[in-house]
Amino acid sequence: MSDRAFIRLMIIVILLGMLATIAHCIYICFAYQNSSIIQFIARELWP
Amino acid sequence: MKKMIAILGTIFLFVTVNVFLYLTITCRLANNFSGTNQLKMIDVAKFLPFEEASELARTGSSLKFQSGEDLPVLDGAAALVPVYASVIENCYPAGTVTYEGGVFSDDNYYGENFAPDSVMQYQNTVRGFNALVDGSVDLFFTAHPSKEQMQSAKEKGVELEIVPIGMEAFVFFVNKDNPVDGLTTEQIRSIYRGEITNWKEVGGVSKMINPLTRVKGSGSQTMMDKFMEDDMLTSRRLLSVFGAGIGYSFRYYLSGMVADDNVKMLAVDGIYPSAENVRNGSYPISTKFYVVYRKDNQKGNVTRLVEWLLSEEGQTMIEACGYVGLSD
Repeated sequence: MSDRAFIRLMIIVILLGMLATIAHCIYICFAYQNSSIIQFIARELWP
Repeated sequence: MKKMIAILGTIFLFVTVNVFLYLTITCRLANNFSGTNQLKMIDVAKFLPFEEASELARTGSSLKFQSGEDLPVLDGAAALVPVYASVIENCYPAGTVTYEGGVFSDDNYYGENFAPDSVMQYQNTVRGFNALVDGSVDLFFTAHPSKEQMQSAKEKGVELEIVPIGMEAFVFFVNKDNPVDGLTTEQIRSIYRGEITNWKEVGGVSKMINPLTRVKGSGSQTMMDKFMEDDMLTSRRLLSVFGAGIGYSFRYYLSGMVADDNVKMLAVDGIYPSAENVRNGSYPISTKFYVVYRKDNQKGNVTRLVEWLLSEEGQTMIEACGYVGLSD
């Protein structure tokens, strides 16, 4: 793989990864403000 | 080869971050993401009058309305659906409730589940109260209306009669695996003012506290505002989302209606919020719940029904619903 192709591929991977993560975070912020507090506590993970 | 490892490593990094977010937050968000659905957290179909399988208190009544009478339309908070549905079951003639089912949404919330001519409606605290003020509902079952709701009614020139009909405990709850079983009122206030931020400060494990709040205008939020003397965090703190939560509700709503075994109610000042401790007054955050109607309501059956609720029969029905009647 040439350096040029590698850089292009890396940029695409990073952009797509950031896009997915930002979308996930936006969804969390929206849903968190409106979710049931009972369900949110009931589903907590405890060791 | 190194280039491929770098690319795969980058993909793995993003996947890891998103899986972590999913496991710690996303999978815990209940499926009620609209403001409307958040306010309607019960399966109302379980409490329909005149249905054999409904979970209602069938204690009987000497007050029996007849078909053709001017029947009061009832609405109320989610936590009080069993009470006013039981009133209809005991006092109203069959065929006066028409449930249409349907899916709640922000665009279709007003009477979407019940036909307009049904004596039972379920629009919950915020919208149901507005319907009472507007005159489309006659009797509204609720915790004490908030200051904003009272002000809104006053601005519309509507005077309200607010009659206490029963007792209920305002409770705090945590996950069942949280080792903390009780808090003092001062500790709770400090948590919700952001002064105590870790469970180890109140005898628990070292974990951030996530003090969860409810929708403004809901019955439990109005009660919480009163408990906190209007001095509390105004929104959920973002980073504490990774900690262990504490929330608040009413006793019967939490333990009887939602009845999720994965949460537990906390003792407050060493007193557990049992029905007995509410009745004997030892639980420190007991409150009354009310039936509210417009003073200018012309239906004679409105006051008849309120008098019945305060009678021995009415109080027996309230107790049979799982709530606590007014003390003698």
